[in-house]
Amino acid sequence: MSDTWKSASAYVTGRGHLTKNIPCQDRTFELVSKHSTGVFYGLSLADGAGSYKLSDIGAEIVTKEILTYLKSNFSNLLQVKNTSKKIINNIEEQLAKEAKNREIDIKELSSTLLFVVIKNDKFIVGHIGDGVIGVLDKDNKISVLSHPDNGEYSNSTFFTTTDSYPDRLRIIKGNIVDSTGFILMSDGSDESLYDSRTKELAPVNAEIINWLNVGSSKEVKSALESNLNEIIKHKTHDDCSLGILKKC
Amino acid sequence: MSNNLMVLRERDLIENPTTRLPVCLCLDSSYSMNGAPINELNKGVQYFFDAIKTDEIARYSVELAVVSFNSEAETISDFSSVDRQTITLLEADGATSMGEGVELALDLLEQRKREFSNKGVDYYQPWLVLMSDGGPTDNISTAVRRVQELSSKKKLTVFSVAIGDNADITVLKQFSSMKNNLVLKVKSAEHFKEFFEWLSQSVSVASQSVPGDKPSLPPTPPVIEIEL
Repeated sequence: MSDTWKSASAYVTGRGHLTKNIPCQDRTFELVSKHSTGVFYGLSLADGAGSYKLSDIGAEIVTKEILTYLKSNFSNLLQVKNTSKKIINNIEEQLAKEAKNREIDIKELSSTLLFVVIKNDKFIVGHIGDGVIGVLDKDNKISVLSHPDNGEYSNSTFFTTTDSYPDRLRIIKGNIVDSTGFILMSDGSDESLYDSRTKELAPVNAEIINWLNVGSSKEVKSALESNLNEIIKHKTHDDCSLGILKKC
Repeated sequence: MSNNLMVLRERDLIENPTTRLPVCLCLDSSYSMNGAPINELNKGVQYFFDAIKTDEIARYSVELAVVSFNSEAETISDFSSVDRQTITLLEADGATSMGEGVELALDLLEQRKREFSNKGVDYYQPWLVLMSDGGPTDNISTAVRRVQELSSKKKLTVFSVAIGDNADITVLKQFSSMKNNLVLKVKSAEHFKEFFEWLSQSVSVASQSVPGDKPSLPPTPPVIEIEL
């Protein structure tokens, strides 16, 4: 029998966006789907590109579409070698459709993308751009699974629409053996939770994931929102988001 | 469960160093700047440093260096926090070794970037602000090539600034990384304050940019002309 997982996520508008009256461009999405072949658990997070006014729409689309696509194609994507290309094609298709409907350039919908999906103790993790994906092991030790992928400069990164996109989607897949939790964060949150000098996550990330051991998903979502609003966003000008997934 | 138990404490969070924006002023201090121009330039530079110091964000993000060039190029102030810097007044004398000055400025910027990388400090694309009232008296070909290489790779932003009517616009355009290689022209020395006021506002905007941002700089004041 496969393990049961719980998730929670939240996103808040950064101080810089509040000042400029720009909407929050971070998004998160969670999806649990029961099927006769097993339960699918998905968590995704995206940070819309600051220079594009509709990037919040793009972030919303990719967070939802990626999980919907992975839910339907999980077994196949686990087996094929060109997982990255298949996922890319799907996302580009969804974004292109939206861009056509709105009569805008697809780049207007640019965002980063981070996701983790699990089914029958197998996982697929993917990451484009900045932000961090962390993993918790059975000894309650937190470590980085995927580091931020920036350009040289702090205000540059890679997006879902970047021309070199195929090389920028990092995919990790395999079996869940010792892992008991995951955390996804945008670059606004990683300013407080990820040490850019040592390239390590703060130990408190383990504590955050473990909130799902003791609180309901709704309670934890509320706690994530409060902490993002009351402490984490005050250490950055950027929007902040967090998503966590925990074996329970 | 009570949400009271799900509260992060300040001490549990990481104190990452502030992302830095290195800005190097490369200033003409040749003899033709003698008198009012050099005096006003000195006041303008001091105003710029003071403006950065009083900006809550730029103060901790922007790092400034000053290079001057006349018969030789000289580092007037190497990169450091503005709080720790005192500015030596420039004196006008000698020729216009612009090529040497720009190369020294580029060397300082490269060195600072290496130091940031070694210490795990994030940084923005560096800025070079080149100001001259004349034309170069040395060979500028290497300096131009280096600047253009960096600019084309989006590794450097260069503002070329002409002082008065005798500045060699053709030369300054070769260094500019702005759209259409435009050159900013300060009509006369008395307008340096307005220029540095605009520059400090621009630096402040750039030091708050986030990934994907194309910082929208404030419009230049009327006393600054655009030379296309």
